[in-house]
Amino acid sequence: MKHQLWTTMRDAISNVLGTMFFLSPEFAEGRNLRAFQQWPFFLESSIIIASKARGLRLVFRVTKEFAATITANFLGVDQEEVPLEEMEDTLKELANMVGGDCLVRLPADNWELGIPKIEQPKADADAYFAPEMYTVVVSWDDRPMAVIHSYVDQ
Amino acid sequence: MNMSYNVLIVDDSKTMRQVIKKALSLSGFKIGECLEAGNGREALEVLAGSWVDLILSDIHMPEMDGFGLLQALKEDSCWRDLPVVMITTEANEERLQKALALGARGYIRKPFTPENIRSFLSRVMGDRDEAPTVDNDEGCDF
Repeated sequence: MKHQLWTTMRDAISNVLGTMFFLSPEFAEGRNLRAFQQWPFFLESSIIIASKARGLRLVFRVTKEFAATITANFLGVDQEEVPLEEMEDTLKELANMVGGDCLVRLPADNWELGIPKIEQPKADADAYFAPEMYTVVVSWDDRPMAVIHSYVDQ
Repeated sequence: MNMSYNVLIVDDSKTMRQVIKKALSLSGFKIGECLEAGNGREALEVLAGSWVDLILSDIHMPEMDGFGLLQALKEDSCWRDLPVVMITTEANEERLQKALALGARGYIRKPFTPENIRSFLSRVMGDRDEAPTVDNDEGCDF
């Protein structure tokens, strides 16, 4: 089940970034991927997907370039003109859509999608690492742009 | 049909409302006026003062969600037959069927493309004179 959750997350991220944000990034993925701990992360969004039996929490940590790029692509505006409020709103929508896309792919289990949240990334990168964490790193032009962690609660 | 449609977009995310508006303009679907509301209650206020041909609504919203809006429209003889299409991340089949039972013409799942929008809305507005049915094809799952 956990492996299915991980591949589900990766496929959902790819589908959402391609369809709504017109991006075809590269991915690196794995368990407890500790790369890029010192990144200048700019924003963080998160969402919880839960059924009676289990829960899945997705956390998106992104650079300013990633936030500005996806917001500009989302809205069809110039990247230089994107205000913080719209980047935050876009990050929440990203979490919402990836979470929802995961639900479509998971086996039916009366899943419920939570409300996406936006917050400042934690300064201590170790705070994100957990035994059952799975991580996807999104890059383009060989530059890492975002890290998406998933945590499975059973 | 060559007529243009006044569309009301209902979503608590201002950004998503802009994205839907953009997708509508790119889809080729003929839009007259594009109105916006942040939840079901605001949507009803817009309807009180404007002519609307079609509503595109999220399900999960504060104050009055998509189900509340559908129920309110169903109970109003002026708006009972107004086509409503849900645009949503909702994946729970029971809740999607609830929307259809409350009168939604169907649903478009996020993420979506302008082509998804055009294709589905053309079908909904083209069949406007027929009574909506609840069946497995009513949803739009791209």
